Amino acid sequence: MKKIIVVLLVLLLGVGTVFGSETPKVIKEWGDPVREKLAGTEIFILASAHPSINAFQELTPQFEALTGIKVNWVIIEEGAMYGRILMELAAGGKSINAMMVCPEYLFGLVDLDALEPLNKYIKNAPAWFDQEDIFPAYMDMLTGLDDNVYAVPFAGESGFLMYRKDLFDEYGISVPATCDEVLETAKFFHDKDLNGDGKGDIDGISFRGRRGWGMNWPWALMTFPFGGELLDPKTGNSRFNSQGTIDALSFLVEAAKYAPEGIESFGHYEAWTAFSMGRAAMLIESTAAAPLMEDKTSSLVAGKVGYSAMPEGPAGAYSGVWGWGLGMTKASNEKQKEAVWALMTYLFSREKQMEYLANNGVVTRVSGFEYLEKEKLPYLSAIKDALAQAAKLAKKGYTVVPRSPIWMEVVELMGTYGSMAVAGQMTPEVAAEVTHEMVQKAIDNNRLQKQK
Amino acid sequence: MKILEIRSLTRVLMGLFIIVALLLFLIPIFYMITSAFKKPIETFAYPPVWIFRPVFDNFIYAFQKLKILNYMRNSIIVATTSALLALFVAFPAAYGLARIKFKGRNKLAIIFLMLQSIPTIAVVFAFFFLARSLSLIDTRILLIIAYLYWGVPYAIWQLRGYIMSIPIEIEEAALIDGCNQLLIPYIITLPLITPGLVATAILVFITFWNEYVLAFFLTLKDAVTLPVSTSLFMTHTEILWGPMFATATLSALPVMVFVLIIRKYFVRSLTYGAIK
Amino acid sequence: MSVINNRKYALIYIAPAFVIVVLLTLVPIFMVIAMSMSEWTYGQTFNSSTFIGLQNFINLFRSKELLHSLRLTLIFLFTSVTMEFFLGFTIAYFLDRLNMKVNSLLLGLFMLPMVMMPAMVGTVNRLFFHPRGLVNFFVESFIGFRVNWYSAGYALIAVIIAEIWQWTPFFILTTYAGLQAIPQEPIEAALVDGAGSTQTLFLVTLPLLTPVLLVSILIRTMECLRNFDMIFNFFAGGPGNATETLPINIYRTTIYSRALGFGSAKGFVLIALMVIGAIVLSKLLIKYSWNE
Repeated sequence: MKKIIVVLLVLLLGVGTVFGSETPKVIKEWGDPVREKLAGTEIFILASAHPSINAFQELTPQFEALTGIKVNWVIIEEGAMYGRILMELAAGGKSINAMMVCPEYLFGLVDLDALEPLNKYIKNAPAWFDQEDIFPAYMDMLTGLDDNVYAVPFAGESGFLMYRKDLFDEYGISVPATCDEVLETAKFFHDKDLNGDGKGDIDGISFRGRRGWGMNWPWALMTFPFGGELLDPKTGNSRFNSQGTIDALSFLVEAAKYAPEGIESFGHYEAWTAFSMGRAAMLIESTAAAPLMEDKTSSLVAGKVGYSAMPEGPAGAYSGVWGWGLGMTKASNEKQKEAVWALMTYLFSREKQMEYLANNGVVTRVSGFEYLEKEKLPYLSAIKDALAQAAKLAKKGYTVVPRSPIWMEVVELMGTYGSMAVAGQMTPEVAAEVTHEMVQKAIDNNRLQKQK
Repeated sequence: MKILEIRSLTRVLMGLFIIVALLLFLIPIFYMITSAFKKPIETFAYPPVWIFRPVFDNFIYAFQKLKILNYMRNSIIVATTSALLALFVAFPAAYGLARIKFKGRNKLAIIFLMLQSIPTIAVVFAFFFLARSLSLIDTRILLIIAYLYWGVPYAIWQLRGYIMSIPIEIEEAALIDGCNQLLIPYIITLPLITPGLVATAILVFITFWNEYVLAFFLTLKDAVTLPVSTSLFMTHTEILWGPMFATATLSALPVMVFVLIIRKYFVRSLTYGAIK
Repeated sequence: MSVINNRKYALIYIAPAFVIVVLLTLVPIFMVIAMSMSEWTYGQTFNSSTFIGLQNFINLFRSKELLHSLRLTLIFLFTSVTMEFFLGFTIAYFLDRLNMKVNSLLLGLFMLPMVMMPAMVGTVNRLFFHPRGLVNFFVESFIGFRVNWYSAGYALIAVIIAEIWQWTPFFILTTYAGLQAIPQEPIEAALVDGAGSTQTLFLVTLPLLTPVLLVSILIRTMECLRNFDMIFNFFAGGPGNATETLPINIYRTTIYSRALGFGSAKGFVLIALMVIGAIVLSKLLIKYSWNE
């Protein structure tokens, strides 16, 4: 009997050591040689204020203690980040060692030969990093056509539909499954008087209508359910004049009629708050909005929201993936590159995913997803569906962010003319036609430049 | 000594106008300051929330998580030093351009103006390269010097205007009395334009305090000033209005203090009568 | 008689300022000129970009967007500066006449809008001019319905209001300082001679103040032409292109269209505008300066 107790105690102690210790042995084994080689190296990472980046900043002290590498997070505004990156690059790019990138500007940067392909690093990554665990769709969006991985994703999102479950139940409305149903439902809730005081209290639907980093998002998202194309995947030429693309814009212009006033200037902040403050019955937006909708300290509709995958258009139901990753600057020296990779290995690993999620990081891994499912969050199954819809799109050979080096310019053009259509300054047909013209011009210009 | 007696009614009307104007200007500020003490859900409420229980979370967040104090310190050092330097250099230049008739004086004045009118976006690129080669990126010195490109011409033009409002006879009288030519601007003119000098100092300081473009591109982490830190509030998922208003409130404080300290110089110079 | 006219002294006074400013701006000026004559985009070093002479400028004249931006910029400029001037002058004048002990305190309070960072003013106004924001709260209370500031028809007006709100204090400050600095004898003399206060204002005070006023208008005009942060954070040039003034258009060309050369050429147009404005106003200044 005594023997059994001793054995049990020893086992418990052993187990306790493994679970209770700060740094698992595996990581320490990895960390020590890194420390020998790179202690004292200082790296600068350009990023914008994002919940995931905040989470990484929380985890940074452990990393610094482990490896002796000094990490500097340079945080700037999302809208200005692109300009800053370009300036840095034009001046030689040596002061930034890693940068936060999204698929929209990734390929422009690749074109400028700014980023180091990470394939060789990933191949030699320790087992606890587990690259396979990262959602393939997210890895894919940061991989070039040449199969080079230019950035490791740390925050992924897709697009889906959010709606007021409570209002739908009250008025007996079923969740819209097609785009036409979405418009009908939006019309139903347009200017609806909920409390009988004669004044409209709510509107049908909210989304981004703002120019700049704004309405290009819903336009790109809706293009595919309507059977349109953005750029031809093979030739890279503009397909903004395709009927489906025009129809997608018409859909948005129509939906804008049933949207809260001011929709033509709604960025994603306004679009999200319109819904979270109870002024719109539906929201077609990024999955990243979901946690905020459920946050009682800032959302009036927490607990009343239903989530569903994208509605079906004439050509089917599709969604897309967007997100952020970290890329390694090519102009850094060897030591800095190794240090950046060490940081990426540590922060983005499977091992650290739980801690990262606990610090409000955005889920990017299958294992992270499974972990969250235990929390029974209401939006997880819709996210899964949306990812499946995005995969369906990828299978057809399309992405919501085409791999074009001038995509940022296209975004600005889409945002400008699309916003003019939403604001009523021009019809969707004209807007799409002008966008097509300008985009093609930009593409041609870029090709001419390349030839020189 | 005011000889003119203003009729009471006119006084009252003027006073009313000022009060209404003041209210219009201050209501948004008041709203921002009070919002610094609100919880997020109250910020977006419509109709706006006027009565609420204040919380200090936003300030705590700004200080702890966002380390606002560092940025404030940088802003104070850069703005003050650069403003003083600009005025020190600009005053004699303004005097020379205002008083001394020489060929090409007007052309020179316009050249200063043109140099100042280059949009910062164009200048920042060149500064970036130069600073890089001198290893001055991300230093406060760099900003202090860079800001002068705008500050000096600006101050010259403002001060020139004020100097030209002072009759030249006063200076000539001093000259006849045997005052040293080179000292006249400092002994005679400077005290007379004190309100103008103070006004210019305030404007230059405020502009430097709020300067964004140069600070954004020329700093990384050490010399980051307050305006650049506003990016911290625009996260991907939400705008942190609370901490932003808290920071805005805090960044208005040094300027207010500065103004309150020097406000007595805003009064008409008492030495006027002494000349006659 | 006036030894103050001694030209040697001019050199001593002006040289330091001149040297500093020229050093700081000479290189950038040359860069802008060189850039505007080339077709340059990111990824090439400047040396490898193509020299295309004045082609960029010729393209400029064909550009419809540029015309639109120019139009918006001028509307923005004239409306804002004029209103700021009249409002600012009136407030400063009243303050001066009332001559209360609290004047300097009031002045301090009036300066608060100026103290805010333009970028933050833009962002905060995004919140205030939201159809369900602070501004509409008051508008609705007085007029009974909400104005959609976010729409193409009203966005520019919202931007102008924001600009006037922030910069009228500039005129209050400079005018008040001017009023405090001008000699009181002519004013008092006129009043003793029996002139009414309005007459005094227009015939005596204003002429004395002209240099200060013109300089303030000049400076404010140039700063207003440069306005980028506020409008960018507020509407980013939208909705559509309803608030795309020249600086925003330049940003779009340089960053999004990555055309550094064309963008520089546009920058040149902006500089030209500023210089024209400057020359016009400074000629006025010279004409009306009474101690010439």
